[in-house]
Amino acid sequence: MPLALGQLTIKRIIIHEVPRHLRSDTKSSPTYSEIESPLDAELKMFFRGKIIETVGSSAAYDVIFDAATTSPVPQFVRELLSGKQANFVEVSKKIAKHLHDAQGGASPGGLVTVVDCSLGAKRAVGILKLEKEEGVQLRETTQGGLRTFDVNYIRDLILTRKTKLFKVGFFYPPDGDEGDGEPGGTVCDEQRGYMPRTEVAGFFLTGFLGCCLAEDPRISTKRFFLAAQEFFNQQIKDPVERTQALTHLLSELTNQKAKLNLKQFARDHLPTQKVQPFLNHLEQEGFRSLTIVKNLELIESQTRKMALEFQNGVTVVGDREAFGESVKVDRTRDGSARVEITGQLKQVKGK
Amino acid sequence: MSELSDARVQWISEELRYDNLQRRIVAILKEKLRSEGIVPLVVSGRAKGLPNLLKKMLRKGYTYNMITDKAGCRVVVRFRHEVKPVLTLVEGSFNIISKEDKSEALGHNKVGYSGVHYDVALKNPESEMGDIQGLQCEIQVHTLCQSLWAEMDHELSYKPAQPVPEDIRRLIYLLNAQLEIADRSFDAISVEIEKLPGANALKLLQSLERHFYRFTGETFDNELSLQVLENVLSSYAPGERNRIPVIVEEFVETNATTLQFIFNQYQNLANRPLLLFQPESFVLFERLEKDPHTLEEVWTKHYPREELELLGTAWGRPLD
Repeated sequence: MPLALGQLTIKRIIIHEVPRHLRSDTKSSPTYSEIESPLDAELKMFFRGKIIETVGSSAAYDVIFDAATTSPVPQFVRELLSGKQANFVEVSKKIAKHLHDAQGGASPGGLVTVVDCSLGAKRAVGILKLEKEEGVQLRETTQGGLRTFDVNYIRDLILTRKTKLFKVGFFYPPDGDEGDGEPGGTVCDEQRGYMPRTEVAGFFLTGFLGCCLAEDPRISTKRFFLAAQEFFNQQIKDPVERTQALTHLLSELTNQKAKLNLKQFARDHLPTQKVQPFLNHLEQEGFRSLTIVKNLELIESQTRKMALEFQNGVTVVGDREAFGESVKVDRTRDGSARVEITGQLKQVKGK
Repeated sequence: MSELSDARVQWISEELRYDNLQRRIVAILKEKLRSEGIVPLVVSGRAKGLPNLLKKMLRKGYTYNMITDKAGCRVVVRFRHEVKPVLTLVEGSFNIISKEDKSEALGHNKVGYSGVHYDVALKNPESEMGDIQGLQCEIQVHTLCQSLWAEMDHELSYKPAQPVPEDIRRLIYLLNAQLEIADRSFDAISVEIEKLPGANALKLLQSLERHFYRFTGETFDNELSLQVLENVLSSYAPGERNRIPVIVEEFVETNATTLQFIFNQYQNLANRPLLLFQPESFVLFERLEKDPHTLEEVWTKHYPREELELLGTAWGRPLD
């Protein structure tokens, strides 16, 4: 089950502009706000909604700070969450500067938004990267002699959808007493939903936020593989539907997509009345993120073949692809399975 | 000292224990009624006031120990068919010392008060409060009409200094007969109404209103509520449908803090989800939490998906 975000409150927000630039361009720098952005209740609720829609979605995944990272963001986040000695404006500027310095010319410019929020009684921090349309100009203003962005400009930019591609990192204190252990984190990068597997460890997650996935993808992939099969065998009685579910599972695990959205899998491939029970089963099996980054290393051989095992002792085993072409599963009136295999008989032998 | 003086002293030392007893019994009754999905009109209790206790001793010639209603509780239901489940619940929840069904003494040719009275004590596992262990409490169970009769009979028959004339007493009993006819008629009507299309939605809305006014003082569109509830009830499994008020009540109690938080956040916003400040939002939130997939399927047959998306975001569980 994704993070419960019902009690999310936006306390303050600050927006900095990070321009597109080449790494060799030493003159480029972010345009900083020097005070918190003066947002009204409506815009705060907009940001609340955006964080919930991304961080709470099935496309989000749990992350932890990478112990080996050179990104300063984890330390900034710890400071903001602790609430001690953290100057919100200054820390947010450092976060924007890190993004600016670290990203190359291929990355579009955008707005780095640091959000100080609370989740119930706990403090939380959101770091959003919003990419605005080309040509949309920033309009600066001053308040008390300090630079910020015009609130009407922000409203126009945000509410008229001149921004796109929210990348969100959301961090919160560990369960239990605040301050014990490392913060939890959830990341959603809408841009990377269907990218080839080579791009999974995207710049936003690793280079910028200094995070890595909370669970080794090899483990999460295997856990999902086993949990899904357990559900199919326990909860789907119809032999045709059960076989189809396994076929889809193997197909989705072995295709070229880097990630698998488990909720989408259920919607696309399971009988409709089984979707919620399947998601409940995954929750019981400890899946909080509903997106996994695929890695078949631990189940490689099991995804190449399919087996149909019958109560009468008969087992049909075959190559997954050959199964799809040559084996037809049907149901009889009494609910039993009837399997039809078509092919040239190679040999018969006792076993 | 006289018996009354002794009783006065004893009652002063015991009143708090009896008050604790009636509070505990009321709490047990409320909790068990709620878990059984029974929605009574009133569940109340009281420890007897000292003057009433002494007057009763004087009037009836009772000793202190003969007064069995030092603590008393009352369950009032709307309809006669609701009485039996309450009786079953009482009998399963307490040690029954005595039971008196007042209607049994009336026979077919008399009218009068016809509630059911129990003398009960807490069951052992319930007696975690040692000082109320073994104490006796009276529980009365009756319908609203029976309750009205009891109140009015007491009010009209015992107030005058002199006995009420026979003719007036006859009139009171004739009224009682009419009340019994009304009681039976209301019951028959309610059974018929429950068979009508939309009755389940109406019943559910009545139970939701109570929660709604607890969290927000806003008015709502009654017709929209009934329509939405009628349409989304099918998102519950058939076996759950007669327990929806209980399911929603448990959900509201568990999530009261979050609900209050959300209503407060959106209270003064002009741009807010259309269905948030409607009582059916509790049902929709509960479904978003427990079975969003089925809710979405049912919802999109009748309404734009966007409205459910907005509620999902408000609740913190986006529909994706």
